[in-house]
Amino acid sequence: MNDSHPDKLEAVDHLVARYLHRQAEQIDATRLAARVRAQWLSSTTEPQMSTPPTKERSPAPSRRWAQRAAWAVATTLLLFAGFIGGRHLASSSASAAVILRDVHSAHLQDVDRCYRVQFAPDPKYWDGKNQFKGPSESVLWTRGDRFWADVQIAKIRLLIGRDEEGTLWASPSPSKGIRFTDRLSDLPEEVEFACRVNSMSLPALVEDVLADFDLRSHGPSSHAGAATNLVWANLKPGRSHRLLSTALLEIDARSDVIMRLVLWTIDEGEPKGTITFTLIDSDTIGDAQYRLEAHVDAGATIERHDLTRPTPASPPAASPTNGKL
Amino acid sequence: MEADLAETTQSKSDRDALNSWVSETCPAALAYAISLVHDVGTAEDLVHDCYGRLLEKADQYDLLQDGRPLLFKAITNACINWTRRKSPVVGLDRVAPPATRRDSAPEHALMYRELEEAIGVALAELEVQQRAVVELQALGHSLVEVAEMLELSQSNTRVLLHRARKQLARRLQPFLEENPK
Repeated sequence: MNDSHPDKLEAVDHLVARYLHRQAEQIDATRLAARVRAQWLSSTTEPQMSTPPTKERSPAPSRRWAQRAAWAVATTLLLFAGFIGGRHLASSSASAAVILRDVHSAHLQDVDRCYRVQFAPDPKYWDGKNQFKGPSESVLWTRGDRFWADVQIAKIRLLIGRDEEGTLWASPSPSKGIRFTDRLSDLPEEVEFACRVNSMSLPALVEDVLADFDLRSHGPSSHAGAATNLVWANLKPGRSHRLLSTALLEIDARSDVIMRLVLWTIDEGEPKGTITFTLIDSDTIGDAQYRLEAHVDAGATIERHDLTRPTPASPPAASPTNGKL
Repeated sequence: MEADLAETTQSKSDRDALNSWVSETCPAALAYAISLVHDVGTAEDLVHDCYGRLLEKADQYDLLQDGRPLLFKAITNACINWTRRKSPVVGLDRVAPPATRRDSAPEHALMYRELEEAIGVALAELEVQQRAVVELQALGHSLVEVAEMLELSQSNTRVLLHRARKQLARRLQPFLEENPK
């Protein structure tokens, strides 16, 4: 009986069918089924509301600078210049999820990565007057949840970062540093958003920042000889986000590292501008660089600020706690 | 008020039915996807996404009636696209010489496991489209349905199926001789 004999081919079908049936019996699909149901139920039952606008804060004068700086950084470090490579393969949010999982693994490696961050305001958003709303450029180092950035907004230069303990800090000059005492979850939304984005921490970026977004991949495409995957994040139907309308991730297909991240930001529903993160270096710079101490002089004044808004029942945190290094 | 209540009840009933549909179809769908992509995590992500897209359109399709072929079509295409996008890495454990029966008389369980492994290896060696065709057919889909799922002509599908079966028959020769059905 040769390989093409009908009985033999039929026997093959029988073996394959039995094999697949057996595999299905052995596989524990309960976790996946629960995941599918949970997502579906959340999309059908969740109230589809936009994030309520944060109340206007009335910070004490001594805290205003810190708040303004943080806002400026959030604005500045929000991203970017458009880059869209060729797209020629079918879109797939499934492959997007796979790509992002690989990206997550790549960004878990103990490597410090350096990104150039450019903010290009939308002409409707920036009238050329308020310097804090204007174009800005910064250099961002990031590893895991840590980051530090050298930010230039108009004539103002500012360093900002988050250390291994999650403490957010800023330094307007070598003689002065500020530590923000809030936990990440207590920070104003804009600042928290900037921290999550700037740390480039997957899955924080994907699960938190882009939680309300549909992810779709386009790629691989070839740009300057390097194969890249593009992942677009667009708001899910009926969802809204207070700060972001669209995101684009350009990922090196070989190393799974984010080469470029573009965020289309919004302000009260109107286009605010684009923020672009472009990978410019990878190196090992050490833990110390993510700490405030590495960026201020010995003996510099260190203030402690609280970014959370005061509640009526508690006195406003008007006075920063000053200290010397 | 009563209309709202009726609508709510109907909605809950539909949701329960679709929940059951997910539970019932999920094991076979996942097993099929794993067989195509050879990676549990990837298969879960792909299947999850396919369910998501179908359930989003639950108001347009009768998923309880027609959902299974739609689901398997979506999974087939997602897995084939994923496989083609990734470089064809086949684990060393998947590359094996043609299956051979052991000389010593194996116990039934051992022989069964041997057969399972041999089928798994033989399927893994097929080109992904052939694998999809032969598996979909083994899962009970007609040639016409399989052709439609893969968006191929029936003649092309038939050729793919024939080649896949032939290759499998060659690889599983010792088992087929021992136990043709």
